[in-house]
Amino acid sequence: MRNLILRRRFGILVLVILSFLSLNLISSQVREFATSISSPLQVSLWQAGKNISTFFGGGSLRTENEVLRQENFALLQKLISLQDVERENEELRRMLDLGLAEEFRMVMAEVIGKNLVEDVITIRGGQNQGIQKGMSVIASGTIAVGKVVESFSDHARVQLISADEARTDAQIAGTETTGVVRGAGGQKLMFDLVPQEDELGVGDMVVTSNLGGVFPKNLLIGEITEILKAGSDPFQKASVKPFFSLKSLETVFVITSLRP
Amino acid sequence: MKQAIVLFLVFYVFALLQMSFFVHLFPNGLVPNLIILSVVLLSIFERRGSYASFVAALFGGFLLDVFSGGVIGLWALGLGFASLLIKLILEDYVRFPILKKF
Repeated sequence: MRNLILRRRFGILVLVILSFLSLNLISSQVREFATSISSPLQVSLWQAGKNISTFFGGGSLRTENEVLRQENFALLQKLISLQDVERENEELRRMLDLGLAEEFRMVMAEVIGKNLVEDVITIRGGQNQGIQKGMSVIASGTIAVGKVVESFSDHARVQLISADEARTDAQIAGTETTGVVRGAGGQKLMFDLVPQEDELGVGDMVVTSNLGGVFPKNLLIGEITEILKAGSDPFQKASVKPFFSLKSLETVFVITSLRP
Repeated sequence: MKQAIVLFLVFYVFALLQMSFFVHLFPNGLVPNLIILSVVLLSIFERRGSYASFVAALFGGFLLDVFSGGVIGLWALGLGFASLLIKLILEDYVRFPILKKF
């Protein structure tokens, strides 16, 4: 008898479970039905709850809190924008101090994309801002960065001097030693085609020369870290550590023309 | 049967209250779940041999399932199981001398 009762209860339990699970086959209909018959009551309860909370002040406080939160976010956004403007001003001021702005016409552009593999950056600024293909790009502190290889209406792609195909005429600062800085990819530079008889030293500063016509003279390129000499080779070369850092590069200046 | 209908209606009202009324009264979204509270209390205080709390758990769980958007039966079977577990523990180890009406 006890077994029979237990078996019956077990059967009912299985039936209940199966019923619940089978409802999932028509779950959308079940939910639609439940929602449709509940919605009038739900609307009334919603309104009642709202009225009560407003009556006791909770509602107005919450609304006020929400408004203040929104204002706080707006102010925070403004603060971030102002910090950006301050940073840009600082960079512009630095360029003016260096006298470059008197010598060249420059357009400031924000870096909006970086391709660390190809040593290419995308800047916000293009033909509409007077940026054309072939223009040289520098960073604050008169550091040579690269040249514009593609210019669109509001964006441009800049090939860095460290890109594989990039070639920049250069010289050792304060000397007559000239050569070509070749990009070696991955932000590495090689100072090449330097005559064997010229003196190179670790720590020497490499700057642009005006031979190539891409960059103005005396823009900073990098510092020699290692000299590579081969006896049979008529030229010597050296590894150069660039002064610009691709990772921290955020703003650049495109030299659009020389001032008359 | 009458008791089951009453339970279902009460739990239906509880579900609607939770979703539409209490959300305005309790800040930070911490709304008490009346259905779970009721099932737990019923399971604790109902008399021995009664399965009203189990039936209530199935009803309440079903309503939570329908209004939640998840798998139908998850809440129902979960609450039913919880109710049986509470009863099992209480019947074997604990005695409450009060509220023997259910």
